[in-house]
Amino acid sequence: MKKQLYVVQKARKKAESALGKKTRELDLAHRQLLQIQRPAGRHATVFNNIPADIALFSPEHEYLFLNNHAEKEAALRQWVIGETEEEYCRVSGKGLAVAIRRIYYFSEAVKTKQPQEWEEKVRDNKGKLTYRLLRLHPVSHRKGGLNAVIRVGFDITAKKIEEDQLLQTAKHHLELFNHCEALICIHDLKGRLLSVNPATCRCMEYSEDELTGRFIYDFMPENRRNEFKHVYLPAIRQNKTAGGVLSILSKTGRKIFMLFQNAVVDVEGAEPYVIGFSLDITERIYAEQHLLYSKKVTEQASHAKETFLANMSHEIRTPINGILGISGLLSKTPLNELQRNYLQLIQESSNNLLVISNDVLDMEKIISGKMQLEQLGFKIVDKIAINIQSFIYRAEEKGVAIIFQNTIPADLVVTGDPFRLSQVLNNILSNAIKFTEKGNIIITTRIRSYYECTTIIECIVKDTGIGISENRIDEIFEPFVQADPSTSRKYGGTGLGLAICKNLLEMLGGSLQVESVESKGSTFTFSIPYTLTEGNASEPEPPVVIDYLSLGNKKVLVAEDGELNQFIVKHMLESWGFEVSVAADGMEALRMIQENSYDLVLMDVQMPVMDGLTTTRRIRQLNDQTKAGIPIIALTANVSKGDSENYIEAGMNDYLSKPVNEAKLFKAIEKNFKGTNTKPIDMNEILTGATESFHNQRLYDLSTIIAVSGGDEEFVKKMVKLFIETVPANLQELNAYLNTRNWDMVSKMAHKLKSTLDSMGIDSLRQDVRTVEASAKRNENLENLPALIYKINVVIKNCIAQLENEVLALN
Amino acid sequence: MKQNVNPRIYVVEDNLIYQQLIEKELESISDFIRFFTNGEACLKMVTADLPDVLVLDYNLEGEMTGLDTLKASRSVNPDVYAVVFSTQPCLDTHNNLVAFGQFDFIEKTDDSFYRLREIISSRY
Repeated sequence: MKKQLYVVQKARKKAESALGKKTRELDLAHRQLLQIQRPAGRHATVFNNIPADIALFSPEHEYLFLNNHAEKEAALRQWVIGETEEEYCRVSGKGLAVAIRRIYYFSEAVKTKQPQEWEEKVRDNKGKLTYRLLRLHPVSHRKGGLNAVIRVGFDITAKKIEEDQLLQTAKHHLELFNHCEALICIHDLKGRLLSVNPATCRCMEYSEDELTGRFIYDFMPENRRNEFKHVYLPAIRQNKTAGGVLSILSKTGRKIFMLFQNAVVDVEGAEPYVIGFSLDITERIYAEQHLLYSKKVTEQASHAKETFLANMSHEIRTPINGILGISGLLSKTPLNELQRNYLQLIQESSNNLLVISNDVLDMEKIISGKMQLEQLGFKIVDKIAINIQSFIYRAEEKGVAIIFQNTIPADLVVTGDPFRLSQVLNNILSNAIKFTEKGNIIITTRIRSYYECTTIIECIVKDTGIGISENRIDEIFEPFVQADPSTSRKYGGTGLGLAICKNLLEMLGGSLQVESVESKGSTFTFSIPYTLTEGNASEPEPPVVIDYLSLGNKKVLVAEDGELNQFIVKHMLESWGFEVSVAADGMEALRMIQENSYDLVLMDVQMPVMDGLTTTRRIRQLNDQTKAGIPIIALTANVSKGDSENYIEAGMNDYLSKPVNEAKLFKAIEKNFKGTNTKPIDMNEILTGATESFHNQRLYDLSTIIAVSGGDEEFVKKMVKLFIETVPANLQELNAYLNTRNWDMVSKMAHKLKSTLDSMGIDSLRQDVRTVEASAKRNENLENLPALIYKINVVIKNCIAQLENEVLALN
Repeated sequence: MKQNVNPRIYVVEDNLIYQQLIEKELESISDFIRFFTNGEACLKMVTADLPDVLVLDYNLEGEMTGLDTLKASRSVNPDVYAVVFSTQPCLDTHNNLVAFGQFDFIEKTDDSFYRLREIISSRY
């Protein structure tokens, strides 16, 4: 019993001590808890006012504290103390998934004693999503065990949504970047690729890795790299944007053309970069190149055709001119009636042929823009009447009447190109007559309008001929097109006439219209604006009866390779009583001039061995001044304004176009025998004659020299003497170079004289000598130089006389 | 530049009247003036006997211009002081100065001789 009691007591003691131990342990835990809770308790107000979720846990993950911000409901805040996470999440409706993550991170924090951080996505019972950033801070006590764990949470919903949106946008952009067919790249300001889209990779046949980090110019053909480095990169740096076409070589060496538009993107705090957006336009470029090439080929072909036609016409014209020339000579011989008729037919046919080849040449001139227009005053009614007159005979032959109804005042004088008016009118009238078998042709002329000093003249040519069908009417102005393809077979012609008319009228500022009814007739209406001229028209020179024998016996050299022309010109000249020698080429002509003496040379421009221009230059360089100064008249088949300057520049005195017209040739020869610029200038002759006009002016001004002399009269005299001694020699040299047309030296001599004249203060020549220097140097206005140099001669001679009288005589 | 009261002056000018005018202007500065009408002749003398001052017309008889003569003379005496005359204005372009070396430029006008004397006497 006693023993039993002892056992019970012992057990009780044991139990008591165990209980006491437990109680002490509990006590300790409680105190510890209190220690932790106490600050929480003390600072609960502070914690509750922090705008963040704050929770305090025991190391066993039981809630010890939850602030206002973390849990709005006060009841829950009370309840939660001592509860587990799982419980709280269930009760507060956050769901099991949230709890599981919280438990996971908590265990991590306990295990590692390291802070943990994660984002939590919670959908509340109203369905609203909130995001929180949660952070666990394990609080260790000194012995290394855990006291508690603090959890801080922030609401990052707004930021999170923004981020999500950004992410979404970025995703869209990425998809755009990846799936877009346009070539997109990003590169830095040095041209290094930072990223490229798949389309770019496909286009360039490289993988993304092969492209990024490399410089764009590494993929360019070598000759284009500098352009990229020195043009594109500076441009984009400066202007922030650049566009253009880039050529790139693909991995397989294919050349790619990219049309790009790139812009710099500035990002704060980071290197700016460039977004490039390009399109592969390789096919377009090749198509363009192909088109350009085709265009060039077509143009060349067309140009070759035009040139061929022009050359052909030119070639044809030479023999026709031969035929006409010989016919002319033949007509001067005694002929019987039949022969005269035949000859007339030959002449008519040749004339027609000439018209055709002239038409082709005119068309070529119009197309190539070489057609030149004159500006002459003329009486318009006279001009029109003369043109109509020339058709009356042909019209009468066909039995067609020509009626001229004019309302323009007969004495109206206008300024314009009378030849082009004739050409147009002739063309239209000859068509009218050609295509009219019976009936009449009415020509009506009137003034359509006046405006200040311009007037528009209108001319209507109405015929009763075959007309033009409606569907062809638009085509008749096209070159080489006739109203009906059968027309050329029946009526002949080149189909150029109306095209020329239309083009000429357009050049003149006028217009050409046509109305036509097939088989009833056509009406052509053209108008031309003219400037009204006050005063008289430049009347055609009254026909002068030329006395072809007036020049007497002259020796003329004809340099011409065409036998026909040789023959014609030789006969003409011989009929004037000239002695004629013939040279077949330039070299022969040069030799003959050196060996014989002639009064004049007729020089064909185009000759074998040495052409006329070269020959002329060589003649002008001959040492013998008389031979070098011989008058030379160019004979040429092509005269345009530019050509004539070439002839004069080469040293020719005049030029005539072939076919050679007897009267014109005679006049040209006559003029050049008399002309001052062909004869060597004899200074003495000029000077004795011209002293009078300058008699009363003082021509010099010695103030420069006097200023330099500092009052030394002897010095002044010495200078004047020097001038008188040296200048005449200079002048003579100048004159000699003028005679030989050595323009280069003329310019140099004028330059030399310039400073001398300036120092003597000869102001009346100040400008002239400069003009001579400049004109001779540039080969411009050479025709004015003889007169200017003549003036220089005269003034200097007079000046010398004055100096002798006024300065040197003062002894 | 060495100080020299009586500088040796070479003048290249193909116009005799100008030669006289220049001589008249410069006689107060120096009694050592040599005249040449072309660059080649002047250059020959430069090689034999160095001048202090070169007065050059731009346009000269012979093949060399004034500037060519200057350039050739400088290869003999890089320090020679030069004045270039010309009727054409503005020969003293940057390019010319680089190509032919430093020189003073006087445009030929009424007062160019006076200016020539001024410009040379300011240095001597």
